Amino acid sequence: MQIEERKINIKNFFLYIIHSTGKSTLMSGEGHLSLHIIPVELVYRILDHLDQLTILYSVRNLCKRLNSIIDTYDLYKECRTLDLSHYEIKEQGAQRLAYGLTRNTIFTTINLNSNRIGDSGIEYLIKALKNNQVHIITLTTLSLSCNNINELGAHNLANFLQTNTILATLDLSHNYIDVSGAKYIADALAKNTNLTALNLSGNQIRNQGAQYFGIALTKNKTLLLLDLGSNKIESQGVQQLANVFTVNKTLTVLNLSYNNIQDNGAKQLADALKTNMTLTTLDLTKTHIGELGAIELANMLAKNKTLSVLKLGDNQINNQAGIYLGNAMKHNMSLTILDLSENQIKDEGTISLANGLANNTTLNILDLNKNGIEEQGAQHLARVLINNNILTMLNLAWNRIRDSGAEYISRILTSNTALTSLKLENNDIGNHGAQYLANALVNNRTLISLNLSVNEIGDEAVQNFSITLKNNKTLTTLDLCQNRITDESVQYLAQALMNNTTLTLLDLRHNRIADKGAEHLAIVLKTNRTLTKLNLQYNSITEEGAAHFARVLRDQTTVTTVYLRWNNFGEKARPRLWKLANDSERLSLLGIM
Amino acid sequence: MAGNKIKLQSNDGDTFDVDVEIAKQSATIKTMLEDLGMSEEDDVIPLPNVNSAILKKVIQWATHHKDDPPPPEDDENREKNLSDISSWDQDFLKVDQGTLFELILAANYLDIKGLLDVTCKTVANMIKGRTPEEIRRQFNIKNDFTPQEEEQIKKENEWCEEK
Repeated sequence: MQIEERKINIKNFFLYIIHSTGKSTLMSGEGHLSLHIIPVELVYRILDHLDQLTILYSVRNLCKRLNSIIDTYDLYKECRTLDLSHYEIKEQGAQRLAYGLTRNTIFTTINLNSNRIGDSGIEYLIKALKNNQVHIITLTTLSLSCNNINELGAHNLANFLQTNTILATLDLSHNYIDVSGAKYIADALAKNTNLTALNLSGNQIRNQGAQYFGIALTKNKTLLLLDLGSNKIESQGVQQLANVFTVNKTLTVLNLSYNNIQDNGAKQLADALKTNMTLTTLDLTKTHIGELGAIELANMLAKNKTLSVLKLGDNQINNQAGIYLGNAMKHNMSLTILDLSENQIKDEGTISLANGLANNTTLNILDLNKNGIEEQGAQHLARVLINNNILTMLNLAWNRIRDSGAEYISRILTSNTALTSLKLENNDIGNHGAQYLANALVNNRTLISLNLSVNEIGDEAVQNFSITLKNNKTLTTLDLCQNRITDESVQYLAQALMNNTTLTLLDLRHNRIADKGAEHLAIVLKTNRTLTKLNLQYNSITEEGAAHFARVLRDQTTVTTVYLRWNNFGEKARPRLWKLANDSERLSLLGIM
Repeated sequence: MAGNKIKLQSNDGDTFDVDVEIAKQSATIKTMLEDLGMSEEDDVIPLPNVNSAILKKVIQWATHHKDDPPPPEDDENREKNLSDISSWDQDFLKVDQGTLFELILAANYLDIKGLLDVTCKTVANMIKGRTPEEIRRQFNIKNDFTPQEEEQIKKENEWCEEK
């Protein structure tokens, strides 16, 4: 009886609630219903079905109530970044966007990269943004990379920069801004006091344009980063930019990569930077610098006290210039990253660099990829790096250090306590050299990543790596892609992985592993909870071997993704294997990695 | 249990006999029936915010969708796919705009997720690809920005009105 009574009471109460809430929140029957009249939470439900662009194109600025609803709509409000890259927005789209952006108070970043808004699109946008001076107090980053922007667009953007006081980052890379466009922007930059990063890479500003920026930077006091990469700038263009460094005290990053500045341009920069105390990063990748230019830069390095990153990859720097660079490093105390990849400093240059690093206490990353370095170079680098506690990444890939070079390098690993990444890809290293490296790693506690791909390492050395993996507690990435590994050593590798709790990535692509090896490795995955990527693409595994993985991977608790594309099972086996794996996403039979 | 009916009463006094299972697509009604023991056949559930015309439409929709699987709960990963309205629903929603918004209100009030989704999607479709001026006309929205504000925007965006 009591229960019945309570039920009725609750029922009445509930009905009362329905009546009262209904009256207060719903407006049925109160005149003509429409989008702007329905309750706010229902407008939200409709907005849920619209993307950011449609909201801006079609719903912004219809009326005050809808604007305030959009302003409080979570998906819009919490998104400070308007990312409309790759939306195929053209001129007309930019017009509509401009309308939507008026009265905007939300976005701090607008990304319109890779559209085709063009010069007239820029005009609409800039008008909207300029009109919004009061409203847009928030926009700090504007990205307009790849948008067919020419001279006129540059002109409008320049006008905007002259009066805007908020924008900090402007990306105009990969457009068609030429000499005259560059002049507009440079002139604006001379007056602007808030822009800190300007990316103009991949345009056509040429020598004249570079000179305009040189002049502008003698007046500008805020820009920190200027990217003029890939702009057909030659040494004549660099002159004015170089002069900047004697006056300007703000610019810290300058990118001139992929220009044709040659030795002469390098000399001008080097001369100016000898006394500069501001620039920390200089990128001169692929700028056609040869021996003379590199020697000038070396002289600069001996005197400069501020430059931290110097990128000289893909130039024509030879062993002679390498000797100068090495000597300079004896005096340099600021460089942390030196990229000399794809040059020809050879053993002589490397020996000199090694000597230069003997007492160095700053260099963290040394990239000597593709430099024709052989055993001797490796020997001297090893001699110095054994006691170096600063260098963390060494790239010696695509040289010819061979077994004996690898033996020298292994000595670094026995006592060095700083090196975390070592790249020895494609160095003619065989079992002998690899064994030294493996043995040295048994007690190493620093190295995280070792790349030995494209060498001649066979089963013999892989057995040593098995012992390494049983003991080492630091290595997370081991790349043995394209060597001569067969099932014979894979079983030992598998045994080692049973107890290893450090390695997360093992790359065994392009070896000679077959079903037996696959079976051993599959068993490992039942218990191993550390390895996340096992790459076995391009081996000799048949459907039978792949099935071992499929059966293990159907267990939800496995953590490894196994990559098996390009083995000895045909397309038809794929659905069967997936079915066997219970559609586990960890069985990767497609080309992705 | 099959075949059990309940009575729903609209705000203009009409009552509708509806299968319990169909009525339960409304989470509001389901809660009343299950949690509060309102299962007697003579119970009348008054729905003071829905008129007869709309309630009839809602019952028609719920009857057609009675065997649908329950809609997914997860709102976070909802895809903005506007083309997935079934042709039956498209025909069903060929109604005047007032009715469409009344249905949204009713679906919300009765908590029928599927109906709310499909009606909101329909409105979203009416918005997509339209200019602000077209949308103002479509939904009879009065531009209430101050004349000065609007004048300035108009000056800069004349194209919007023209094209």
